[in-house]
Amino acid sequence: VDRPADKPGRPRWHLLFGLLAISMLVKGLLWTFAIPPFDAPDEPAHYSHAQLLALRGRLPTAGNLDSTSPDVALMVSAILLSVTPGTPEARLYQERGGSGPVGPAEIAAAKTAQQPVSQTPSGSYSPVGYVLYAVPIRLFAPQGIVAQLAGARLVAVLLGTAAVLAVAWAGLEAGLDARMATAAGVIAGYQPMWSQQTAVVTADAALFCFASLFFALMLRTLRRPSRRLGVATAAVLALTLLSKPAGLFALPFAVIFFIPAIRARGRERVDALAVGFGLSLLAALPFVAWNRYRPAGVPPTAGRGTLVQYAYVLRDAGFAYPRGLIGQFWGDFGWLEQSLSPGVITGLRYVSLIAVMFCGAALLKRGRGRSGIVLGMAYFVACAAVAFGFDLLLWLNQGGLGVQGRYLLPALGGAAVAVVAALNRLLPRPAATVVGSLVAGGMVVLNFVSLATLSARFFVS
Amino acid sequence: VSRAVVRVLGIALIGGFSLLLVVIALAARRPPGVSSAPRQLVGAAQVRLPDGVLDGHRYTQELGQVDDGLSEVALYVDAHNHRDLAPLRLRLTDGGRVLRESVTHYRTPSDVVRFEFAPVADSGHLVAEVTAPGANDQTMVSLFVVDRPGAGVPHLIHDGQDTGASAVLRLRYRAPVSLSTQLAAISDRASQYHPGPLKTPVPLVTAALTLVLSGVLIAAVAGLGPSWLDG
Repeated sequence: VDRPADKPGRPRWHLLFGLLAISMLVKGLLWTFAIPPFDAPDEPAHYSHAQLLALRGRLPTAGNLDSTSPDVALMVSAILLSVTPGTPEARLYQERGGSGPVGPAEIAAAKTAQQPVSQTPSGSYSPVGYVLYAVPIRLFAPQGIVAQLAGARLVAVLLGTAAVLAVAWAGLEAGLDARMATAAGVIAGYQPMWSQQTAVVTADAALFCFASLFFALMLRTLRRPSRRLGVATAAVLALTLLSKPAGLFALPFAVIFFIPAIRARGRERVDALAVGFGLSLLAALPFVAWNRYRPAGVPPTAGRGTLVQYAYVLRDAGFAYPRGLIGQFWGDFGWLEQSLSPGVITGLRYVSLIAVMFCGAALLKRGRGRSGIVLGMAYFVACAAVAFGFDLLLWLNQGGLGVQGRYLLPALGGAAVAVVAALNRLLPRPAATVVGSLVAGGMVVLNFVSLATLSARFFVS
Repeated sequence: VSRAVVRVLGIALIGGFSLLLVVIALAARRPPGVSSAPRQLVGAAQVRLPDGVLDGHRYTQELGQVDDGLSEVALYVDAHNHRDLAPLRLRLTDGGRVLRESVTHYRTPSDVVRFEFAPVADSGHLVAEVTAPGANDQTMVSLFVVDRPGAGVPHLIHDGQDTGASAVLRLRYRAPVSLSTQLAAISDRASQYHPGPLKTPVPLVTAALTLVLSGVLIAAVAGLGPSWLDG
């Protein structure tokens, strides 16, 4: 493929991408250090799911209930009991709107009849992402839970790295040169919440990976459609859906499989339509089948259909106001939200607004090369619409709000490509490169600020 | 835009980036300290007080004599999913004299409320007082407490009446510590609960590598990277 980046005098995309990958691996490892074990959102439950697969070869026994294994509860209580003056405050993350304060409560729960440490719907997720975590857990089984968790977290780092490379590839497919495509990868990969969720055991890491890859494959399909590529794209969409129900936002993009039918005529159109339907079924059927015919031992929650249950997946995660959703996209969750000053969050909201305006302005400009902007924006809007839809549903049903900014992260790669493509389209190449690197550099700095915030708990008093 | 201008902008970018890192490093020299949960409360079960903190009511609890540099008191509350919350006020008194006062306005409902104030030196016998001026049923929060705490643990007093429970107050201190001490502590503490090969000095080496690689990456994106990156 003759890409602009391959021409003499310009950076080689494979070298830049290699540097990007190494940076992501090292940065991911650093984030795993900054987050104490099981201190990330729902990590005990996600880990327990993978541990069950790895060590006992079975799925969790409860769909929307606790899936925390006894040794995870034991380790959590051991961490809590080891708290002494002068040592880090290694306690569980406080799930906002969850079961209330943690610390003494967890210890009491662990001491009495092994009550669950957390309750999440992760027990009903498909094992697609969890089998990846199960590999190191199985490998390090003799070394104990500390080594198992460290190994599983490295899988999350690898998934995050793969996701960032997919974003950068999407940039190339959108017509960006290697530098700008790398800038898009940096913007996604250094986003603080993305960094957190790809450094711990969580279903998000696999979702980010497959959703970003699906986005890149869509751009590729728009450029050079083929049946082989269609099958690959459908398979990746199926994996996106199976990784986490939040991946449902990507399902409408199955329309991409019908593009050849629009371009074709006569009998070819009929054939293309049949292929489009086939690919759509290939993408959606595994998800539907998992929910309809889930193996025995994972019963659906009483009183709700399984698919409807997914609408409530977001409920338990926390509380937010709609006006804060975009702002929380930057700093939501845990220490970041509680520690970043309101001024920083407000400033970042304006950055989001400026980015949207940039994309809009770039779309108004005539000429080719708008597919990355249009598709990236549509991807992000679809994700936001799903999040806001759930938000509204919860507000109407319960008066509470349960959506967090991190639910927009699966489409972050699309948004990053759209913004960088807009810069590329609106500005002359040298200026676009400088502005792109400034934006990417800003994200790197924000990442370090967040890391410093996380690590503040480790400081000496 | 000429190539020279782009180069100057790129160098300014790297300079600004480096400056920010220096600021972060300097900020790490005097961070707020972190205290652990009160030992005497470990093992106890937490409950929510049935009454909310309403206007005109007053909750007090003894802190006693604390270490120098107390700069933050945090307590746990249940926000009841209320969308608008009245501000909470904390007063620190010493022998009836008000030493510090801090008011928290909520950005979003949270179950941890932090009150920050200027560090307290040479404390005598401190008492924390929590009130919520203007709070009603729709804007109040409730305190989480430890019911029937162990002997010697100060009780929470509600309008002069002993609740029989104790609020979990977490204290933070501000004290000057050298950067090298901080870095060593960070590395040691980040090493906790990680397997042998990932213990000190791996966290520090990883942090240094991340900084260097991130700088090189941004420089490469800006067109100032190593020559071997160019074809």
